[in-house]
Amino acid sequence: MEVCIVFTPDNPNLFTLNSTAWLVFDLCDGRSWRRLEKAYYDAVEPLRSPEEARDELIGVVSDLERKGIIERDRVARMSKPRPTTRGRNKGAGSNGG
Amino acid sequence: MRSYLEDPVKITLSITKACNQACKLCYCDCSQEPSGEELTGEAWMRFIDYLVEHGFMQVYIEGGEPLHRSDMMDVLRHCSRKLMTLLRTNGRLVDGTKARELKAIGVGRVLVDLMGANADTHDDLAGTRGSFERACNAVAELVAAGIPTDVLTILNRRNVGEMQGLLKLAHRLGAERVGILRLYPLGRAKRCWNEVALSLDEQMQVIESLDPPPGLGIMQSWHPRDHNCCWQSATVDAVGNSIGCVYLREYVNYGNIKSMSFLDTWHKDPLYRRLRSGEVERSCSDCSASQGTNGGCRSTAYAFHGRWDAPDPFCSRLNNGVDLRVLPKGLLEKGPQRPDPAAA
Repeated sequence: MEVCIVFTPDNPNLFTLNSTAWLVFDLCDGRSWRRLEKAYYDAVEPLRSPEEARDELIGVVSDLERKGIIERDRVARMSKPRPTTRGRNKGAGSNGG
Repeated sequence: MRSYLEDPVKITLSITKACNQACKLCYCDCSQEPSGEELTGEAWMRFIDYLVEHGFMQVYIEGGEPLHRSDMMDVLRHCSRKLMTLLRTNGRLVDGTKARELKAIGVGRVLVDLMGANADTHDDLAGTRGSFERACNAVAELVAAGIPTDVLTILNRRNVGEMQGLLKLAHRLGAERVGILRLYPLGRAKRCWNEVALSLDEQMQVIESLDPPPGLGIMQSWHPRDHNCCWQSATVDAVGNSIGCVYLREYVNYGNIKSMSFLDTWHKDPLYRRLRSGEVERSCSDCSASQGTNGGCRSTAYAFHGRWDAPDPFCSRLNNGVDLRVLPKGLLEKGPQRPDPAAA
């Protein structure tokens, strides 16, 4: 299992993202909300309906914003505040042994 | 169940063996002045750059007393915006100005040692009169500066009756959590072991009776939370030795970062690899279930049994009659060494 760890230096903290938050974090590359919604739905359909995907996305984006991991600019593009850093993928987890 | 990492994410830098106190339980055998062998500030900063380059996310800095180093603020300034930075201190040099400076440069969390709930106990254990007041003041100033702050204490015979009082004190000072640490037979602590060590029953009675004030977190590693941290442990001592964990400092040396890369010690040293594998003789199912690891702390397992895969006697389910008040024969004579992994 791989994990994504994010460091937010402006409010020093480490966060371990679950797979959904990790996907959203990666998609927040400065794109508009409409493009983000489309990209997220493309990634999760057919497991989610468009409405389910949108609700899920709103919740995750809100959580990432609250933690200072992403930010929304004035024209509603979603991106990472600099210098938020992401750890490279690590082989972290349990092997069930 | 075994946890594993391909590469470490967090590391402890035991950045100096010098200290401005004379603590009776000092695991480092600290002196007032650093030895000439300690890594320079420039060398630590180069190592921090190496850590950033290789994907580390968190650094935990302890000593000795880190702030006793004249270049410590430069080192902290160098790493705090690049890595989540935690600092352990006795608080002696932390006044309001220093606390605000630590906040400004981005230190993420500070952990302050309080060895008792009153000045008599703390100052006696710290070997330094007035240190209790300074440590309490440090906690209050750090909290006022907006830095998340924890209190650490080592449970021993001298402070065993003060744990509940210590929780109240820490809460009153604004600490978020209190870490109650076990006593390790290392450094000066092992030389006064007979005076300060408690039986496991005495320790468990205290741990089970704790009633923290609302909102105060407790960190402790007794049953059912006895953790085998080795799978993720990475530590470099003051002279650059890769030692896995600060509590293994007298037992292992995986190589020195002055002559090899840290990750080479992580990947290539057979004992380091073995300890991370989580292979143990016996494990407590409750501790394994809560911590995701097997066998408990390897340092105390090795100290009391002399085998790397032995059960940890600090877990009540694995203790099997070991009297923790009595040090195993020969441990006092043991200094830094490298046990033969094949023989253990």
